[in-house]
Amino acid sequence: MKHEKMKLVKLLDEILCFSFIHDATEMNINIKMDDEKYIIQFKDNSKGVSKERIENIKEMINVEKQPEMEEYYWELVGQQDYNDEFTLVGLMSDKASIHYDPEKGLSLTLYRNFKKNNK
Amino acid sequence: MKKRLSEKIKFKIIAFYLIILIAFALFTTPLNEILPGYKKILFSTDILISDYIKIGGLGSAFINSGLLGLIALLFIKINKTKLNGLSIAAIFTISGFSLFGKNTINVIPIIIGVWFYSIYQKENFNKFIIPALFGTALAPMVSQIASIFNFSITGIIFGTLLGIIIGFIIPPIASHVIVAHEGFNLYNIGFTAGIIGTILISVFRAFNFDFQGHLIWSTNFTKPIFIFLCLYFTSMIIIGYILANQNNQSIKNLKKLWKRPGRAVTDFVISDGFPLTLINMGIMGLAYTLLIILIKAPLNGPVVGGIFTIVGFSAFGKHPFNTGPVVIGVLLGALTKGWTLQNPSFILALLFSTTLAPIAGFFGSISGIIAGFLHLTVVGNLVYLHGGLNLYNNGFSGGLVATFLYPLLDGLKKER
Repeated sequence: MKHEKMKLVKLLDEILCFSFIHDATEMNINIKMDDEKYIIQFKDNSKGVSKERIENIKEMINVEKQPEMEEYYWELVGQQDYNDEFTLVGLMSDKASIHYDPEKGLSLTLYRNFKKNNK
Repeated sequence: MKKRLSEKIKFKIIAFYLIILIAFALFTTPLNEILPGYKKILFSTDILISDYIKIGGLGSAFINSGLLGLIALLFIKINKTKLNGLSIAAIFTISGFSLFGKNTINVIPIIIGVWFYSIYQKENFNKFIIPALFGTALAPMVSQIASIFNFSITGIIFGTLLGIIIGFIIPPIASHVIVAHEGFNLYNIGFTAGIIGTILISVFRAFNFDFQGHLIWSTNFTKPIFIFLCLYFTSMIIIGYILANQNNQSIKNLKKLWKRPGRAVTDFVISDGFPLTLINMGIMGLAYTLLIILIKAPLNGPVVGGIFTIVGFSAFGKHPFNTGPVVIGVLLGALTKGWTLQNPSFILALLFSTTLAPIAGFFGSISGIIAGFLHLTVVGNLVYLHGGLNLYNNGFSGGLVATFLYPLLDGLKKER
């Protein structure tokens, strides 16, 4: 898959944008890779994110992966520092989970499958 | 989580709206007039502005529109692509432009070219289905080359080869140029096709081949088309309302949809669900049809094409509140520049300027008005560059205006 690593970097850009917008001062990224997928684990101490907003993000990141949207729009991900829509994050991920604790912050895990021969 | 409609139901509804176009054609025009008219459409040059209603008649034009829309829909289904806002936008855009420039002959080479690109990249074709469908903006290139050789076998071969080359180069350019305007021009392939068209025409001109635009523009079918479109778009609102009720979606959530800025990627089918999206599509179709009647402009192939494109993109970023300011900007431009409201180029600029809706949605109404005003100024200067062979000329202009305006507006916007 072309630009696979760049797409991963873009996904992280989008998540980091969200954290900065929500005044996070500490962020931790953990990336694991096996033969068929990447797992991105992200934690921060972002503040003031409403329950409704988290529900909305949960819905967006759990949208079924849509390769045609990814291929056409991936260069836009994380491109804009006002935007924290997460729509493209969902469209580019195979599986995702999100948890938000007002005291501790955001915890997000993304799974992205790839074709081994082209990674 | 929102209850989502199955792909099967969405497919049936979109198919219904495309079949209705064919039914309208058969209702208004006898079959023995449709076939010769359709032949004229297939063998026209398709350069801007070619109104298929004038070239082949009302029925033939709508048959072409319904057929190509159905082909696009089947194409999406065969390739297992979801019926999301973007694919719905692509279907209605193709259907709309099949009233003035796209036909079953001239779009195929471009799609084959994109398919070759997917083979070259060793990827599934469904990844490139969006540039394949929208990329047909340059379909007149195929017809134009074929027409130079009087649609002989040689002409068709050369036209087809050029179409395949265009299709092959569209996907990488399209996904790259989007960064220039940051998704603030919704007709991104228009911008892409404008760049490709400009370069190709420059090469043609270097070898003393030039293409002249023309104006084929019908004015005498406004009444039947108006009645048809009113019923067509009202039914979208009604069906959307029924589906929303059946799926426990409150109509009040439309307010949420109307607050979205519309910058790509704002896919209303994903974010707000298909029923509310269908209502938005119907409202936008009705509003812009009435606007055309209000300014005493005709409803013909290009104008209905413009309305259909708006309706399609009302599933992917457009709504009354982000398109309104841009349209006001275009109207103000017409007043200050002394354009008549019935001027064909103005009418098309008015409808297609809504490609800049995200500017108004994101930076506010004043910015939207400025974008519309600038769009009207820029769009008229661009046809020469691509020789009228890029059907999405307004998308080209929208790309330039958004690329120019975005950094300026971003610079003026205060940091959050």
